Amino acid sequence: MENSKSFTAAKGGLTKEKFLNNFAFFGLLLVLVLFEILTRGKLLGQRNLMNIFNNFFSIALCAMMYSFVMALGELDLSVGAIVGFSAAMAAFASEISIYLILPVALITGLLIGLINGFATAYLRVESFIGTLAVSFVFRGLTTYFLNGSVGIPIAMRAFDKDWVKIIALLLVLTISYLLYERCAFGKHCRAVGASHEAARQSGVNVQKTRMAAFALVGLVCGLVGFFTLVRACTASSKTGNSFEFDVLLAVLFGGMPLSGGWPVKFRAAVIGSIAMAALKSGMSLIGIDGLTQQVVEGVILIAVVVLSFDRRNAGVIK
Amino acid sequence: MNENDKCLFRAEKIRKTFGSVHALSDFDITIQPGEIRGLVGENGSGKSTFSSIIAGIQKCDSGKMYLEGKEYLPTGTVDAINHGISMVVQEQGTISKISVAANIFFGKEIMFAKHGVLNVKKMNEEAAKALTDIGVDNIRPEMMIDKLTFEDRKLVELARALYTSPKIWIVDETTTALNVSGRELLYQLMEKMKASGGSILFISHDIDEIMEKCDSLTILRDGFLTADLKKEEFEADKIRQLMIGRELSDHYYREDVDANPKKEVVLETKNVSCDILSDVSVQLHRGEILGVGGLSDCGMHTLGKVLFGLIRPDVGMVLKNTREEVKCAAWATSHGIGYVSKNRDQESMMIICSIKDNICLPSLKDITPVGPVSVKKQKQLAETWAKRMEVKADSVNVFCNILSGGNKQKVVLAKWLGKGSDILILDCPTRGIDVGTKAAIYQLIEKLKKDGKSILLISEELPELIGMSDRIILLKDGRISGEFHREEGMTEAKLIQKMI
Repeated sequence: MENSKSFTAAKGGLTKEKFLNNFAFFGLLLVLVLFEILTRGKLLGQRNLMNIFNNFFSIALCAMMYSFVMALGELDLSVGAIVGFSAAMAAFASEISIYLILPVALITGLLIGLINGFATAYLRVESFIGTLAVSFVFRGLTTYFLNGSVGIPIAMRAFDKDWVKIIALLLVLTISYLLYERCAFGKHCRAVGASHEAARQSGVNVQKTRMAAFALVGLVCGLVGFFTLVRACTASSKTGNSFEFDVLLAVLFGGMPLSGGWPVKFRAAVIGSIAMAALKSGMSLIGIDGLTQQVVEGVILIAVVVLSFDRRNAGVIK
Repeated sequence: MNENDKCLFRAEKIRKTFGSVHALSDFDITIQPGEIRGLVGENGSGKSTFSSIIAGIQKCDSGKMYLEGKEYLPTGTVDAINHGISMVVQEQGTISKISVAANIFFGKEIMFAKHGVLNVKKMNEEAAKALTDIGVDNIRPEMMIDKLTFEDRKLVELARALYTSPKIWIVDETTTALNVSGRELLYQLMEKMKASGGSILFISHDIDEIMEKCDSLTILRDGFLTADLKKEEFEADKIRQLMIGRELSDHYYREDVDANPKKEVVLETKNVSCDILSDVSVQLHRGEILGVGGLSDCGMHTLGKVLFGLIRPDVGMVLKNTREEVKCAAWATSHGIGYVSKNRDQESMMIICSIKDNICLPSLKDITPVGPVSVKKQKQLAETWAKRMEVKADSVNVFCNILSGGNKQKVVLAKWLGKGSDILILDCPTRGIDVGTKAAIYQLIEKLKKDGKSILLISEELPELIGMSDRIILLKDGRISGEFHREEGMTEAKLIQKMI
């Protein structure tokens, strides 16, 4: 009986989809309630909310643009390295002029994004391999160039203001939402993820679409690099460490399936980012150390991947 | 139940629903040993649902099945095969990136394993035997399945299905995927199995084929059993009528003989060579239906892809309006060329995607060139064309995976009509589609011609080519071997001469 039940669910598609969408909401709720209790109300206290927002800010910026890559059915494991490298390049640029910090960070991010896109779209390297390799290359280069850490004028802290971040967040949110849900580009990404051959035969330029999606992620990582830099006022080889993991976990937690295509919903990026930020902050509050946090995050990653994989097997034949 | 002892298989009051759709309602069927039982019905009438229930792919909601008098309730495909029921289907059923032998014995590797190590040599030998048993000798078991043509892969599936010497063999619209010689082979295998006391459940859209090969026939309409016919009662018109539930108009193919060609060339290849094609020059004129035929590996499918820019020719050029070069598919799409692939589910549509998004995909940039695309206009476009093409679905938001084959093809055509493409390259547009939808597609093609659109019709079915085309070009081994004009009169015999 159980078998037939799961089949109807798969065939209908909707039951399963509803479950997964709600899973993200429930997951978020669970995280909030659990840590609210464990921290005795400190999690959602006024002081900690700012903390959560700061965590949420960088994860969400990247996760929103990450939707395009997820829609393609690809992964980008280099986002942490891009953040680190663009922060480093921006820090060097500040020695010439502080006006160069933002543009250099953005351009560096964009360029690495283009490398990722080129490898995936034109050299046909599997994205998770290609971006992992790129990640290693730029992590290595960051360490090599920085040789420790490089600071920027402390005056740049001026950009680490909440209103600046809120404006940046709203800007990226608006652009990525419109691109994803309303513009041809977002639909093309999902079409390529659903069936790249069908997309190609419907006149979608598959390679350009892939390239652009990775470039966008790179660009936004440059922005994240900038904000990370102005917050700490130094760039070190640790900047952006394990950021790729946070973002990936956020979008998966939000309910994006790894298989790409039309089931990839934009709101998953936002919900997942809130959940991730709350989770990280909650764990710190109750005194779980960094290493144990990694263990917890790893376990959660496996759990959400199992859930999204189950969905992939459910009658989805590519 | 005395009756149960005599017959080989019996199903009673089978019922299956998908959401609000009743795929099967109280369906009964009895299959005698040693008979070829036909099962026909329009797309979406429940044929494939029923065959997948017997084959253990899905379960029925209610109803009982008996095999040789015993109640039969398969837990899965493997269980069904162990009970002696195997199936070959219309769409691709092989697993890519592994060898032919591994495909034949997929799930049965344990037969060749010793201490957990697979004896590949033994498996290959056994696979070779399985292939020669069904009379195939050009496929080697160690070959990768991906190197084989679509037709050869179907033959591998036949070998796999028959290796277990099933009691009931379900052949689900397999003939449309095979070429002429493959079909002959399939018919022989069916006869052989029948002679040895096995039964075949034969599902097909081709009424001539059904009438010739089947001993009895079950007709389904909208999930209901409409008739059980014996061979003596077979009559093409009667079968069609029972399937569709209304009189089919005589109007099937075109009736006019006047080709009325225009001189203006809209799309052409100039001395194109690539893949199997060598030095092919074809010209498509405005308002013309140009048929392209030949044996299935003659290169006609490649020609379609070359014309749409999916494959770049090694030598030669593809030109639109005699001067613009067709660079890639994206260019072709934006310049009014549309292409319908033979391989519908993999190439022409996104299955896990709504009807609306499938129809709108190539037209997004036309609706709004830059910036956010109007949601309202997308919906309008999709609804207009889904309605005009009579796509059967509750709304345009329905995902395509629950549509029947004919409805899917209508969505694919709606996509290009909605785009307003002037040149349509149709590669086997009626493959695996029921007669009702087929007639609708023929009428559509005729109407498009009247509207001044140019159509390149690639088909493996000669009656279709002769019935629809103004001009037919035949390919043989990648070269043009003949050209025929409608006004000169075209017959199958004349065409076959140039094909082989």
